[in-house]
Amino acid sequence: VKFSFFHLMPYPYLPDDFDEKYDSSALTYPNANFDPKLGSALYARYLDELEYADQLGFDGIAVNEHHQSAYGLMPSPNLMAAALTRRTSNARIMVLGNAIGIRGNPLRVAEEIAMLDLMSDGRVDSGFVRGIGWEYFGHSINPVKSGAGSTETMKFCAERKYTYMSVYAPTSIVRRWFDGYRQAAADLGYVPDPERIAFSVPVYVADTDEQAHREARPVLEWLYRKGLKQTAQMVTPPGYMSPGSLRGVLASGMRSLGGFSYEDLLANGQAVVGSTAAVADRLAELYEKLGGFGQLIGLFAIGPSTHQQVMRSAELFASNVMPALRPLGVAAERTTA
Amino acid sequence: VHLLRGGAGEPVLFLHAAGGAGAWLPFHALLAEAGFEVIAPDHPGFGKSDDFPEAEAIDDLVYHYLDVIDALGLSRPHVVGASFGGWIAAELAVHSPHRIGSLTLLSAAGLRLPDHPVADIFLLPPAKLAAALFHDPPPPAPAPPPGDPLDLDAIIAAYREATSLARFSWVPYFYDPKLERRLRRITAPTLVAAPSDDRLIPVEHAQRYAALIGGATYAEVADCGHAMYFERPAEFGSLVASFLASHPLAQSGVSR
Repeated sequence: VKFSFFHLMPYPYLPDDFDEKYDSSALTYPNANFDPKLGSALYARYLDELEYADQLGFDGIAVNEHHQSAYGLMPSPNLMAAALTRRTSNARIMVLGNAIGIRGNPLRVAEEIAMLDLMSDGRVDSGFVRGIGWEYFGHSINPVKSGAGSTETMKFCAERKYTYMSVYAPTSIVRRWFDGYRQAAADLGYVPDPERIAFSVPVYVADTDEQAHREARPVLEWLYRKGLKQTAQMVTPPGYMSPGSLRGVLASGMRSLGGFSYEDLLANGQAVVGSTAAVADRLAELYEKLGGFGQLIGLFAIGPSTHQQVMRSAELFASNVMPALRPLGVAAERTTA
Repeated sequence: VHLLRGGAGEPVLFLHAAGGAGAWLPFHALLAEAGFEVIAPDHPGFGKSDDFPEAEAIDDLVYHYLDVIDALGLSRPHVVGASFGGWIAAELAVHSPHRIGSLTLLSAAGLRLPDHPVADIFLLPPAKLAAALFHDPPPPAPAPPPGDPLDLDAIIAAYREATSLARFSWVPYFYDPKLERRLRRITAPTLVAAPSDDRLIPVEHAQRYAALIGGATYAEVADCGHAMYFERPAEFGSLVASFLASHPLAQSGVSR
């Protein structure tokens, strides 16, 4: 397994009456609530954290794209990747990814990735996301033309041998996605390299289990209940899903992400929290439950977690969890495949 | 194409608003009783009409309705359109003025007035949308008892219609930048009507249509929201019927 340190660059300074007063931390959330001085300091801090992850020995440092949202302050992940090319030396710089659906002319994205490739001396991995529903409102891009459901995406990735990555869903659903991707590859007559399957999950490590849970609970609740708070209309604008896919999601009884309790999130594998031993055990268990994966994309900077917390969590993970889990993956998969 | 038809007399092609496909309403019945043959098709992707996945802009609907008019054997029908359907009617009249016997625009979409924007209807949850549609909103439907299964068919049908609507109106948002300067092409007698309390498409849009279409008559229906013929069917029915009656097809339009 390879390990990446993933950053969303959240804006954690939401007002105390956020829950009652606002439908979402995105799109409809007022710009007036944003303090540019704090924003400036956050960018500096967050880049420091990504650079530190490179020094700690993470295989990858990952950035992504979000718009008009306190959930993530990176409308352009390529700008952040460019900053990282100059002050990191070993880690892959992973753009996970450009929201190609809302970027207008894709040639501009290709040009920027090509620049990053040269600036980083070949360390850039270029990923793509579809863009969240609210971003189709914000950028006046017609979601009807945004294309695909998950089945089509699996097939598209399998045909090109692209890496397929999950986000946020409970383990049972992630397993279904990964199996779908493996099946799409099998239909094409090959077994995907384990590294082509990436599991992303929020990870919080502290010196003891007790400390980890005490500190992780509020930041994970912030992530799922505030950072990701949005209305049904923002999640699925018209045409974002096919009627058949929407029926499937509704019939499966899938809840909105804000409906999960902290305990649910841990039990569902939507977050991994604890001491180094507990986190290593839990990730090994999730590895089995998911039928294996070759990349772990860890979200270490979660919501309002402090700089010290993020640095400590990443240090503990790099020194004690990565060595334990690294042997999982490639060899095991090749024998069972 | 699924359509409802009733009454006998001069043909009236009725182009429905984004809501209201497949429904024969008191408004339709009033026009039929007033001596018109009312023909009310469901737009592509709405109600019981098939999807039209290759369509991507409002002009596709113009060609669609020219085909419908031909297929029905109509030469120059009255055309009445409401809201989204009013936008289609205006585009149709601009494209083929000689095919339109008379034109009635009921709080039509299609124009952009920067000082009077159309509401963000795709962001409104269903309950707020319902409230915004009416001057005097009906009491909200009682919440289903907890644990009741979702009415998946109804949810999916509504999502399909919203998707069909978004296909034509997400961007540009409910307007065609070329429409305004082409409105001068309209030759048919035209009625532009609006409800007095329109919270979705401000009445200034109707006023703009009336100002730009030569000889257009302008009327407002009091104490009424964008739901128009749902909220005040008698008033909208008599307004439209009397306009149609005073512009018989034999005397209208230009043809040679």
